[in-house]
Amino acid sequence: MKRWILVLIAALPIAAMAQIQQRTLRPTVEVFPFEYNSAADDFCPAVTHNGATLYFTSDRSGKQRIYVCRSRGGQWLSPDRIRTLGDAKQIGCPTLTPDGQTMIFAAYQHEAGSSGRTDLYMSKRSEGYWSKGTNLGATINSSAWDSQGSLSSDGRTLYFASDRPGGKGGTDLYRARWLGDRWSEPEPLGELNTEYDEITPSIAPDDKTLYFASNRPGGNGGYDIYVARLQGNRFGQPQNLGQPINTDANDISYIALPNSTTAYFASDRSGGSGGYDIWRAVPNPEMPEPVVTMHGIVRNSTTQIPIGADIIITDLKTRQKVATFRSDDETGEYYVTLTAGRTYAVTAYHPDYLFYSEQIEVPTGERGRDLEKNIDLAPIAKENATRLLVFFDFDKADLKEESLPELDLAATFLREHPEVKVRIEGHTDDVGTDDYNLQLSRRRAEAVKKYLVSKGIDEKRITTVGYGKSQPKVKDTTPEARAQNRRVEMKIVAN
Amino acid sequence: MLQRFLLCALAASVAVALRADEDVLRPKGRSEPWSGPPTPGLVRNPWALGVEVGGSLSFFSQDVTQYQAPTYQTNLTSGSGLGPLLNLAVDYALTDALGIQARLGYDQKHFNTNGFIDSPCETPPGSGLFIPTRVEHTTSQTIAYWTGGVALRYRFEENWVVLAGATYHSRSNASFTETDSITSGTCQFYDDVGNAIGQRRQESGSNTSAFTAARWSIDLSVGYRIPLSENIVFLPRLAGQIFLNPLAGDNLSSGYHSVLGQLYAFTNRRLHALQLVLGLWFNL
Repeated sequence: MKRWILVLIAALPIAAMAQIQQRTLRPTVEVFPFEYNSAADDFCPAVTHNGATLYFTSDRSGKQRIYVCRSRGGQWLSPDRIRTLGDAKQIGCPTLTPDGQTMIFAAYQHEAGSSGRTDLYMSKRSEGYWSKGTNLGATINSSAWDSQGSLSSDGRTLYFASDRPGGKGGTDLYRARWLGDRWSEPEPLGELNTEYDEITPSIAPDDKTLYFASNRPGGNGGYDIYVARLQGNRFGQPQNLGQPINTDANDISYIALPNSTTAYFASDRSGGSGGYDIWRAVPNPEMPEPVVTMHGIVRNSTTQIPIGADIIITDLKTRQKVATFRSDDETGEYYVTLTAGRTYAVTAYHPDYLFYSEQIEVPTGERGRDLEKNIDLAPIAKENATRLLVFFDFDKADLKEESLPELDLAATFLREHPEVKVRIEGHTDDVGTDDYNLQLSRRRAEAVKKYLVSKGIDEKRITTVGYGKSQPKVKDTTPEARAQNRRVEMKIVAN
Repeated sequence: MLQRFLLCALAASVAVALRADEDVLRPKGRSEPWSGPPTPGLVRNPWALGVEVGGSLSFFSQDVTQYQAPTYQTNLTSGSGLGPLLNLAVDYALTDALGIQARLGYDQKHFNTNGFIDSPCETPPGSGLFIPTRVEHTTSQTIAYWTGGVALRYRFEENWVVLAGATYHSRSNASFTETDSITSGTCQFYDDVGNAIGQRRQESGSNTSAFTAARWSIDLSVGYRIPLSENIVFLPRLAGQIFLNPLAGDNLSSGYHSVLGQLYAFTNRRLHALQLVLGLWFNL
């Protein structure tokens, strides 16, 4: 008896410790209803990565349609229905690229045509309006029900739900990848699918954390929300998000925001406005990994008017375009998500302006950083110049391979503007003699010209000059100033 | 034939509306028909109440048979006019798109007819001097009805609504105003004792019994919903009202002259209407 009492006394602190640890691991999650829920169904929330715009689906008008709320002062403004996506019996469940300029949505009996049932469609934002949706095509869309897309942060991987034949039963989750000119054949996520329904997949901004809903046994009842993390090319064991996210009602459509403790989901639990409602969960009990983001405004360097320009993200190591985003036509705002451990060229390109590139290095282990970079594009006019993002080995004039994407862009620009003549201007920092720097800058400018000519540009359109260290961009001797002064610029001399 | 067609169309629309279509959330659609939201509303409660005000643009026509010398009545073959209406309505949603409506109301039909005749005028009376005169005769007629009707409501687009139904019109009262105006010449009208009363004379009165006491109409309308808030919807609609029975029976007595006999006769007296109705609907 005495022994048992001792065991009990010893066990009590252990149990208390375990309880404390449990509390530490699992913070208290609170859920709050979205202020614009209606008595009809409100579901499929989607928030642009900058957190400025919330899209959701509602059948408050009698048909499922996509609504948008914009944020002002931390508050959501009242929702507006998006009316330009085309006519369909039902439209909903949007997913957006991080820049908020491309949307994939689902529609039933859309006027653009379908493969028979609900299909996925793409829309682009232009001058403040969403374009009419275009069907993603027979590779993605089957003759069955295909809906609830979720795009990765680079817009190149699409997760969606489908009840097509060949799955494990009910609706299953699928994944397709953008191959540059077409989508790959969708592959079922066999490690996550069951004979029950899996719906509303949502890949988090880290591109590794996938949330989805399922009515598989073992949940709290109805649909529950699960999270699974990518391990290599496969997802690990899904975990139930638990209460209060999951209840005995249907809990679906879970989304996480980048570097934010807030998550949104939909549920038809009691206490809402009726039907499915959108709820906010704070803190997100299963946060995705933090990501590095970059945002800013693209403007006309002369008038400061915002520009809708392509934002091209290039991995400088592989020289592959990682993603192409777009700044907003009305506000010029852009927003991109970058993966740690890589060096990128972020290029703003608009056919009526000189393009501009910036090198962005995201070190391995970098997490949760938000870079702000406004980009001013110079109009195509005499004496306007852009710095070319080209790289040379120390003391040499041989172009490094990382330079080639930028020079290919320069060649494209010159092909698109045959009336333009340019001067390639080489500059060095203040290290070394005047004569040596003059020669080096001249040879580097020549190397750039040689590459452009090799790409079919008439050599008569290109002149070169080396300025050495005579025209520093920044008059300073710090390493940062010297890095800015070592440059090659392309200046328009005739147009 | 028309009734059979309407019944077939009704049955087809009910069948389409009751089918549980798939949507972007549910591949098999809702497991059971959903009762809301009703046409004017936004919420699942299937009941909605509506208050409607508007106007009826009535189109009156009749056949006029002339037996004797022409009179101005020859010209009174048609007329039109605007009258007010007020409805209280209730909507019960059967499915997402389909609902039944019932309404009680007050509907005033109004129309004017007028005609001219050139008539010699003895001035002053008994003088034997006749001068040519042109007289315009205008009849302004108002018939008020208490109405009750049912309609099938179908939403064919997100905010477009069609209504098809029937309305019973119970005659409340009717009044007329007849005006004669001399439009040319210096002739005047005279009262019964020979006093000149000017070039215009008017007579008003009630003629309720001259009109059919109970009328039926087929009503077809199209409307557009404008949500004002989650529970209030503004719904203007344009309705066509085709009456199945005549406005009034054939009128032979008014054209009968005790000496000359039958001068003219009004027959086949019809009235149809277009209505512009502004409705405010409240979800319950």
